[in-house]
Amino acid sequence: MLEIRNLTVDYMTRRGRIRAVNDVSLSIMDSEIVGLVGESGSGKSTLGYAILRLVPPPGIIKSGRILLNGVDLLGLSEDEINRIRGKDISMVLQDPMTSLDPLMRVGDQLLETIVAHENIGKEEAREKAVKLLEAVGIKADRFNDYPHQLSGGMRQRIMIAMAIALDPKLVIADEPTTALDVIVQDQIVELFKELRSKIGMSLLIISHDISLILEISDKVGVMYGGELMEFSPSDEIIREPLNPYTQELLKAVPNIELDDKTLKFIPGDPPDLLNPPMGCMFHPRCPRAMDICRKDKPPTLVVDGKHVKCWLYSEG
Amino acid sequence: MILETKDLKKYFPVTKSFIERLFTREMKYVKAIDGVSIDVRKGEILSLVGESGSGKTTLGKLVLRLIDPTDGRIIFDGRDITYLKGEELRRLRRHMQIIYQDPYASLNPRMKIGESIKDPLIIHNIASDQEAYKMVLNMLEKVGLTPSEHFYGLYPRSLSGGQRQRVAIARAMITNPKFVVADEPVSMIDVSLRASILDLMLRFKHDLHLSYLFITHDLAVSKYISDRIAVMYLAKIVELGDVYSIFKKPLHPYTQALISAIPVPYPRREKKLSLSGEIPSGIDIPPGCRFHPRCPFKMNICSEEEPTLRRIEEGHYVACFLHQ
Amino acid sequence: MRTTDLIPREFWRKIRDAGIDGYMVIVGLMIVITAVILALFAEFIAPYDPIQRVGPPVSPPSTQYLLGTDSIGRDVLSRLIYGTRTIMIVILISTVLSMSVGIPLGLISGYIGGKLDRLLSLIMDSIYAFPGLILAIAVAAVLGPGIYNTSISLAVVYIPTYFRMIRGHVLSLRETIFVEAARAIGAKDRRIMLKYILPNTLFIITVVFSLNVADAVLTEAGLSFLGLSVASPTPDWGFDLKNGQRYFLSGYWWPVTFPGIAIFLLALGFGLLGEGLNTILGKEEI
Repeated sequence: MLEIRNLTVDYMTRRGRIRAVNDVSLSIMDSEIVGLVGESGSGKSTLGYAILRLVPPPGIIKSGRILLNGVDLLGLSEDEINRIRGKDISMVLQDPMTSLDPLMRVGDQLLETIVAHENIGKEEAREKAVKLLEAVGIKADRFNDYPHQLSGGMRQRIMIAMAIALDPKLVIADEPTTALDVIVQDQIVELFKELRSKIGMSLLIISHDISLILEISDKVGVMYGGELMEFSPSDEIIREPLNPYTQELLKAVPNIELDDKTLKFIPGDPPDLLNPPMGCMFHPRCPRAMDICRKDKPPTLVVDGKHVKCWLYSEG
Repeated sequence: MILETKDLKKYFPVTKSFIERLFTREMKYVKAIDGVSIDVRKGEILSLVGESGSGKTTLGKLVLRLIDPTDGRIIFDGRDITYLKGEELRRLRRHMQIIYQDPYASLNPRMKIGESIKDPLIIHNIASDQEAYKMVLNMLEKVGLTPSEHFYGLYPRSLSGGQRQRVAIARAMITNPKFVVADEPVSMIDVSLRASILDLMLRFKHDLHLSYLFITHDLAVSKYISDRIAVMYLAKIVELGDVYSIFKKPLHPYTQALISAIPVPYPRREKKLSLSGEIPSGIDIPPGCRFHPRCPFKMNICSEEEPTLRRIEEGHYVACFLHQ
Repeated sequence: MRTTDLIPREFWRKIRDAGIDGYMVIVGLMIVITAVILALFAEFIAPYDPIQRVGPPVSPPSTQYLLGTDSIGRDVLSRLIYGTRTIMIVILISTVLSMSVGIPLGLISGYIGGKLDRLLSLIMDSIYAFPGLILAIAVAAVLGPGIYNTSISLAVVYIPTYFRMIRGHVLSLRETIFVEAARAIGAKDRRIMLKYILPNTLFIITVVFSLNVADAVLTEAGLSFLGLSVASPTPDWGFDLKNGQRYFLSGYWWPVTFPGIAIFLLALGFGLLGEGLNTILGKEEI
C-alpha cells in the first residue's frame, strides 16, 4: 500500500548537515499497524512527516521514493499532495491542544474538515460528524464543547475523529499517547485497534515506548541515529530481536511481568548527528561490536521476512 | 521513620469570575490532597503512583514545605515541621532535597552547572569556596560527568537531557540530604538512559543511606526502584503495600486497572481490567468512594460511604469496600 | 558577573543569522559606535572650537567650513561633534539613573508582591501615564537647566518602563521551576533575586535600554529646543536646531538642517538597534 524506498532526509542547519533519516526503506500493507520506535533524535518523527512532505525547514527530502499505491508522493505537485493530505493520509499529533482551534467548538472543527473535502450537504455532514464522534467514543452532546472543556484523552479522541473523517488509507500517529496517562493511553490504543478492524485503515504509529509499540503493532521498525536498524513482525522481535540495539533496548525497559528487578542500560549517549560515528551508528555503544562495524555501514539483510541492519548476520 | 504525614490536606481556592462572585459567597476549592497519611522509613524508597491530577506532585511539594498545607501534620526526622518558618525552615532544607521531572527547567540557564551544584554548599555554609569547588568536581565525577573540570564551566544548554538530570541529582546530593523527593525524574529521559539515572539514584541511596519519595505515573519504573508503593487516586491514597504484594495481589480495582494498562510486550495477556472515563477534577469529588463512578465492581455502599485505608495483611493497606 | 557572560559569542552568531533584524542591529550599532567615538574624541575630531566665533556668520558649507557656520560664525560641524558629547552624556547619566532605580524596584516589587507591589505599581503606572516629553518638561522646569538636571528629568520619564518590564518578567520567572528549585535548596530571597532571577532578565534590560534611548534622544532634543536643557553656549543639537530655524526662511538652511539630521540619525541608530535586538532576543527567550 505504502512503500518507502531509500528515503534520506537532511536538516541543513547552520552548524552543518544533519542526516535525520538515512536510506530507510519500509512498507505498510493494507490495514496493517506498523510501529516505529526510537529515542529522541532517531529520526522517527521526521520519517513520519516526510511521508506527507511536511518536514519542517531547514529539512529537505534528499532522495528516495514514497509510493502510495504506486504513485510517488515526492513527484507530485504541491496541489496534488495537498489533496492527499487529510484525504488519503492523515496525521494525529502528540499534543492535540496545538492542533485544535481553541476558539471553535470541536464539532464544528470536525464539520469543517468534512465539508472542506467532501461534497455533501450540511445536514449530512453533521450526521457524519456525530457518527465519527461516536466511533471514537465521544457522546454526541459533546459536539458543542470547546477544546478546553475536554480532557486530554477526549481531545486526542477528537483528533483521531478528524484524522479518520475522510476515510484515509493511512493514519500517521506521532506519539499519540505520550501526553496521556497510562489508563487513557490504554483506552486510545484499544480505540486504534478497534478502528483498524472496523474501518480497515493502515496505521503508522510512532513512539519512544517500545512496549507500547510492540503491543499495538503488527510490524515494528526500530530506528537509531536516522537508520532503520530492524524491521520485522512484532512477534519476531519479541521472540528473537536480531539487532543488538533492539536487544539492549528491550533489556532497558522495565517489564512488570518479570520478577527480575535488574534493569540494564545502554552505556554512552545517542550519536551526535553532526559528527556521526564511522561505520554502524550503534557501534560505540554496542556490546557485540566488531572491527568491521567501526569501518563500514552494515547492509540491510532480509532473513525470513525480517529486515536487519547489522554485520552479525552477513556472510557467515 | 524519616518522614511522616498525618491526615495532610491541601485545598487550593478556585478563582471565580466576577459574575460568579456577585451571586455566590461560598468559596470553591480544589482538593489536591485530601487527608493523606504516609510514612517513609529510613533508607527506603516509597513510590507514589498515580495519574496526573491525582495530587502526587502536590504531596511531594507539601512534605518539603515548598507549599503550605491546609491541614494536617508533617513530621520530618522526629520533628514537627508543619508550621516551621523562615530561617529554621531554610536551614532544614539541606537535609531534604528535590529532583524535578524536567531537567531543562530545573536548572538556572544563566548559571554554570558547576556553580549550580556548588550553590547549596555556599548557601548552607558547608564549605569554603575552594573546598566547595573540590567537592563539586568530586560530585561531577560521581555522577559520571567527566572530565569534571570541563563540565564545571558548561551552561545547561550545552548538555543533553540525561546529563542535565545528572547535574540535578548532583545538586540534590551535594549536601548529603537524609530525604529526597524525586518527582518523575526519568519520565523525560530517553529510554536507553533511564536505567542509568535510576541506577545513579540507587547508588546515592546506598552511599548516603537516604530515603526517597519517588513520584511516578509509571508503575513499571516504580517496580524496579521502590521498596513500597502507595497508589493515589484523586487526592487520596487508595492502596499501600510492598512492591511484591502490590504487583502479585493488587487489591484495589484502580491498582488492578493501572497494572493492566501498562503495555507489555509478549506474551499478550488478556486485559484483566479496563477502565472507562478519566480522572475527575478535584473540585467535584464524587461522594462516597471517589473511584466508584469508574469502578467495575461498584456496590451500593460505594456511592454512600467513603472507605478508609484498612490493613488487610502485614504491611498491605487498601481503601475499598470489597476488602472490608 | 563578567562581561563574557553578558555578551556570549553565540549572541553574535544569532545576529549574523537573523537576516533583516541582524542588519538592523548592525546598522544601528554602527551609528551608535560612531556617536560614541565622536563624543569621546571630540577634541581631536572637531576642526574648530565649538563655542568660539571662527568665521563670518552664516557662511555656507565650503571646504573651510564643511557644514557652514551659524548665525554668530561658529562652525556647525564642530558644534555637532561636541553636541554629540552633550547628548551622549545626558543619555548615559539618565540611563544609569533610571536603571538603578527602575530595575531594583521592579525586581523587588515583582518578587515580593503583596502591598508593596501594589503601591509601587500604582506610582509607576501614574508616572507612565504622562506623555514623556510633557513630564520631562515639567521636571526640567522645576529643576532648571544643566546637564545633570536634564539627565534627572529624562530618568524620571524612563524609570517606569524599566520597572514595568522587569516586574512583568520577574512575575513569570518567579513561577519557574528553577526558582522553586533555588528555594528548595534553601537560598535566601536576596540570593534568588540576584543570582537566579536578575541574570535571566538581562535580555529584557538590553531591549528596554535600546528602545528607551532612541526615545530619550528625541526627548532631550525637545527639551533643549524649548531651552530647558543645557545652558548656552554649550553645544547642543536641540538648542542649535532652535537657533538655526530662525534663519531658515532667509535661505540659510545649513544651521538647522545638520543638527536635525544628527538628531534623526542618532534616534534612528538606537531605534534600529532596539527593534532588532527586541526581535532577535525576544524570539530566543520567550
